[in-house]
Amino acid sequence: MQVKRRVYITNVELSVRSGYNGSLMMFIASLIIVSLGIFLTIKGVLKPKIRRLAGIDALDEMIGRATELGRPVHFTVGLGGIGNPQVIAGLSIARYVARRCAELGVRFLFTFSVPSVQPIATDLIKQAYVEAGKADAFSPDNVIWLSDRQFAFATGVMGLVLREKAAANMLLGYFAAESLIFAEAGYRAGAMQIAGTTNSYQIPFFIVTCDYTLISIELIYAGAYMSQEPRQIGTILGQDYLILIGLVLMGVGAVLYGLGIQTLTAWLAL
Amino acid sequence: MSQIVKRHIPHMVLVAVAFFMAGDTLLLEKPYNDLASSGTAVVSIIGSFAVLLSVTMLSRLHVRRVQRKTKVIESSVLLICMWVTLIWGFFRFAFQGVSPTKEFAVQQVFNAIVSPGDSTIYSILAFFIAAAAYRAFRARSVEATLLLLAGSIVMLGYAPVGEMISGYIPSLTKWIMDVPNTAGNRVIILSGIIGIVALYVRIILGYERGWMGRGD
Repeated sequence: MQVKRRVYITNVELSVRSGYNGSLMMFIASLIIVSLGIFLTIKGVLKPKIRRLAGIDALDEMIGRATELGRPVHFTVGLGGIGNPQVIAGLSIARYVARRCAELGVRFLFTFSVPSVQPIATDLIKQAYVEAGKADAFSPDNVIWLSDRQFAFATGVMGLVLREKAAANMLLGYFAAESLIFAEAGYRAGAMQIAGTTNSYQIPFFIVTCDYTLISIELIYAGAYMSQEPRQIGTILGQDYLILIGLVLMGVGAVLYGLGIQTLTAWLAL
Repeated sequence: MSQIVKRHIPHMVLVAVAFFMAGDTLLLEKPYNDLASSGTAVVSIIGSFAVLLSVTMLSRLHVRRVQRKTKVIESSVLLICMWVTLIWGFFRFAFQGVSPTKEFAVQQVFNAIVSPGDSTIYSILAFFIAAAAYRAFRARSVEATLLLLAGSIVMLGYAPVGEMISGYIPSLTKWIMDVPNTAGNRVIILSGIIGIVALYVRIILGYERGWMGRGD
């Protein structure tokens, strides 16, 4: 009896076999568009106006409140490792918050789950204290690894926030089911809260429990938004162009598909 | 010199590796893909060194805490106990061939402490969801009212009582989940992916240096 072998073809294989590597084309096109956005902004050809992000604008208010109350600021990047883009985005914000906390003499507590974050985060926060001219105030004890197990980490954060009565609770990074535990702990401690993630399943939890929420892309471009450098702003412009192109392609594709013309859909799938 | 070692060399390595790994995902050349697979193994090895570095930092921190006799030393003592357990397990495995996961004490710690603890914290979520839902479902604005309505319909749609109240509720639930919910979800996912592409461009171009630690 002959056994039929099932052959699995990946998107890339399909793409290459068709003689047109769509994935590669899109990768190159994305790089060109974002780079073009940066180039045009640096050269001053385009002067993009960025809409205000209420959450990021409120960071100073949250740190100020912590100063007045004499209570610490808690910041966590959640479960992600250093290779996670959400953690990288969170670390950019952490650096700013740590510097402001150092300037105002507020205790800054930083928690994380994946051990590989520790050397980077310690170095980054130490540098923020140096920039604020308060190198002596930095304590490695405040960069806290709790556990790499999801719920053990959640318990640790919950205990820390409630014990220390954090005045501000910042949850910016990669979160899963423990997100609500963090946010509820902050709510019970009476903390002002800001949260941000690209994980669409956790965003509703953050919206109902936190004062400010950075939804998906807002977390990613928070670092660029805070820097206000033209080259960083250029990347926001580039990604907005990408979104615009994506929306146009989706709209046209949907209309053509509805009319029975599947060429664009097939072309984009390659 | 310090700038070259701390900033430029890591950045150049990053750019080379980033394009190399992107090529692996986008191209179908067997020798290239094989080489990239070994590259992934190198990443795992470097990752292990990062963990080793973290463990060293963590241990130094706790040893210093014990030396200084700071107020909270319970966690430090616990960490030192864990180290003793790890070394004991290593020797048992190396000289007596006993796998650490087969050790009765390790199994007991997992089955009697870790596993029930995880389940307890996970179950607490149900109460937190109820508390959060209570706060969210107060019709104080148009948006909150819409949320309240949609939430109530979806909850009823998934419960048997919903169909008993009206035959339309399950189909309305399906429509809410399939159309507005899916549309919103896709916007978040798509914008997140494009944002990540832009973040990677920023990293490759050296504008985003958070991953480098101090980096300058």
